[in-house]
Amino acid sequence: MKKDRERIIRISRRTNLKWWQKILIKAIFVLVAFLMCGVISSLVSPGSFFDFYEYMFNGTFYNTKIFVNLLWQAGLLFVIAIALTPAFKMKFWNIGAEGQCLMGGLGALIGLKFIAPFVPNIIALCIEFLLAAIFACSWAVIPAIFKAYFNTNETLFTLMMNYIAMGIVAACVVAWSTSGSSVLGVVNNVNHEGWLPFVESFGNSYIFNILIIIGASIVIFLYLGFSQHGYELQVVGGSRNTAKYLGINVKSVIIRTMLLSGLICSVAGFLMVVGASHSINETLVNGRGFTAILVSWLGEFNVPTMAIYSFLVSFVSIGSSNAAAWIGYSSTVSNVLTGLFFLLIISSTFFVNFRVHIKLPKRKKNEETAISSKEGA
Amino acid sequence: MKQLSRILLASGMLLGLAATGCSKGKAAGLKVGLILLHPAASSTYDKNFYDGFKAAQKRLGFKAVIKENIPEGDLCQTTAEEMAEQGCNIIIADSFGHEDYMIAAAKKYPNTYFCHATGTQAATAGVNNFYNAFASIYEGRYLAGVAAGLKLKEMYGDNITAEQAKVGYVGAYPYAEVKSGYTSWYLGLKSVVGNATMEVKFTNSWYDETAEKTVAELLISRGAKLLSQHADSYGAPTACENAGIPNVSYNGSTLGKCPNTFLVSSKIDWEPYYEHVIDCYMDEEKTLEKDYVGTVETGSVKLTEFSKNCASGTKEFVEQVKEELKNGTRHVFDVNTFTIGGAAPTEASVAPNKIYTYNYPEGTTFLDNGFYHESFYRSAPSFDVDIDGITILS
Repeated sequence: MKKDRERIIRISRRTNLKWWQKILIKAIFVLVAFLMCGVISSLVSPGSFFDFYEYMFNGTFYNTKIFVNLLWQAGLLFVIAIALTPAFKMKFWNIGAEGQCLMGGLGALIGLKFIAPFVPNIIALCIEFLLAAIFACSWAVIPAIFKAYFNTNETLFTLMMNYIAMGIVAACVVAWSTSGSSVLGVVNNVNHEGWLPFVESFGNSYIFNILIIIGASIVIFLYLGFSQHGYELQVVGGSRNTAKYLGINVKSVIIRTMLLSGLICSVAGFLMVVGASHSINETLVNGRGFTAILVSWLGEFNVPTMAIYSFLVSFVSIGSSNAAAWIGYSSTVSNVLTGLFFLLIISSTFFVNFRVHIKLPKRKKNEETAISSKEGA
Repeated sequence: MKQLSRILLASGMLLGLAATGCSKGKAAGLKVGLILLHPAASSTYDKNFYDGFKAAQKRLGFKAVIKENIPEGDLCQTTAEEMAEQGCNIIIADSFGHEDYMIAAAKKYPNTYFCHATGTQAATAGVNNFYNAFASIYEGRYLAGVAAGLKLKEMYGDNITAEQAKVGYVGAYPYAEVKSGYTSWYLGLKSVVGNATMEVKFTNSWYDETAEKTVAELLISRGAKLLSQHADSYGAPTACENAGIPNVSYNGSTLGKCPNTFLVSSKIDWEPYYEHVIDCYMDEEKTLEKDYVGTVETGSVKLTEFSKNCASGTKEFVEQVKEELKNGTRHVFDVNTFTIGGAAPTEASVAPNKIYTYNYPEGTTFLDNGFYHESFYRSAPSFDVDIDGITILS
């Protein structure tokens, strides 16, 4: 005999959630994530619950200088996320931003080291950006060509290209390092030839970099939302056959979109080398190419939403790192806190898309009668 | 301004002590930042800085602010500046590639001390509040080399053949810090085993366990009877343990993982330096050296415990050599103990490109009174010449 069982937990897809309800759910999860960070901090270092928030804010909002540093780090993550977005919209899983930015940085460094000392600064900057674009676009277009013509797996291909880029940069640094230590040091440190002009504001020089990032993001926002190319790559992402029937050249769209990704990665690489470090090593991008994948997904490929997530992720990452330093526990704990933050934000998307019904099992009639008769006795 | 900040600091400390009613150490109230390249938990190099810092903090009572995983880029400058903004009085960075960024930060905060280990620019950068530090680790290496020589003698007797006197060395990069290290280790070994020869191979990485293990296995297969290394992982010691070849380690003991082959290890203890910097910061009368060199005498250069695998009498013999180094009757880079290209060392043969590469002023000389002056004009090692008896494998 088939037993009739009632499910306690049931999940159904939400269809009628209003925009403010979505924001409310995500905001609740962000708050829970912040709360959990404080709880974990006090578990690792008893009594540090309130200190955690104090040091977290000190590391990010202590004064305008520190706040601009936060904006620069968030901006860098954001520009890499928007570099990935056109490819993701096309369902081309480009996880090679780490290598593409690094190669862009290498191109800029070649200009900085070998050309900038001999030409006027404005020409040097143009050459550096041109080289950055050539290097980063080449790194992005190779997997695109293989995907377009041989249907290779772009995920593995772009991932592999990251490690090749790191190897090339490491080899270049060893070859160019004068001391044999594999440290290049700051290039053109005396006269700053080929450096982005310092615009000293709020005690640091990142303002110019941030303005460039804002400009690049506006261009991408318009490109994705209001251009024919933006429409075409969405169609290719939706269905390649439909795109073909519409007369769209799929191969050309794949290659063109990856060239665009490479170009934006070259902006990130250029800014990291010419606008900040003035040097290079294989850790230049420092994992941002991978973190940006999450930012792009969490932002649902929407440029303003990605900006918010870039800011939040950088705030948690930098803030918790500062808290770890001042409270006195390992930086690995702050990595755990950033990971936890990601986990809870990803969880929030589940509750935005699905509804959970919890129904407690009803007691059977004869059980209820037995209980009531006992009570009566 | 410096005086004013010190008066304010002293007043703050007095108020702090009055409020708590007890002393927490002479540096209570001081905030000291440490910038590490990697997490201390995963790098023996950074752990060495971290352990010394925590020991100094425990004894002196300052507020420790430790930032780990700071790459050699603009993030180092940002981190140092943020530490200064949040009130750190002294900021110390541990990696060679941090130096340019620490100098840039130092220029913006003239009342904060910016100290940098392993760097070379403090004396020439013209930044008053920027300092370099290292230790005469070549002395520690030499002493460890002596222990290695005694072990070879115990293994093969006094009439040791050229084949039996062959040792190997796993190096990170062909950089002065590494070259000075293996040359001094070899000279220590050679002071006991006169016909010793050494093969060196570089991994081109500071930390690559697989490469270090592979290189160690290669050196063993080429006939090395004893190995040492300048690399941060357990790769080389593990290869030695597997092959039953004695190993002299660096930066700390590997006895736990290699109980049958570990002999001894030399290391830098940074605690005396941290205390020295704090003393100089707090005491108006004291001046912090632009290039500080910790020595055996200051407790900065140390050997770990000698393991049971060492030859009998090693500890006593090494102690005797250490005393000779201390009183100046023995020098590590004594020109009578090595040759370059078959000839006795000269100023021209030991100092190629050093003035250009390591920021020495024009006219600096390195050979004087019959020995090479290592870490004398600059704290960071500078001996980078290939001497006879050492073969570099390509």
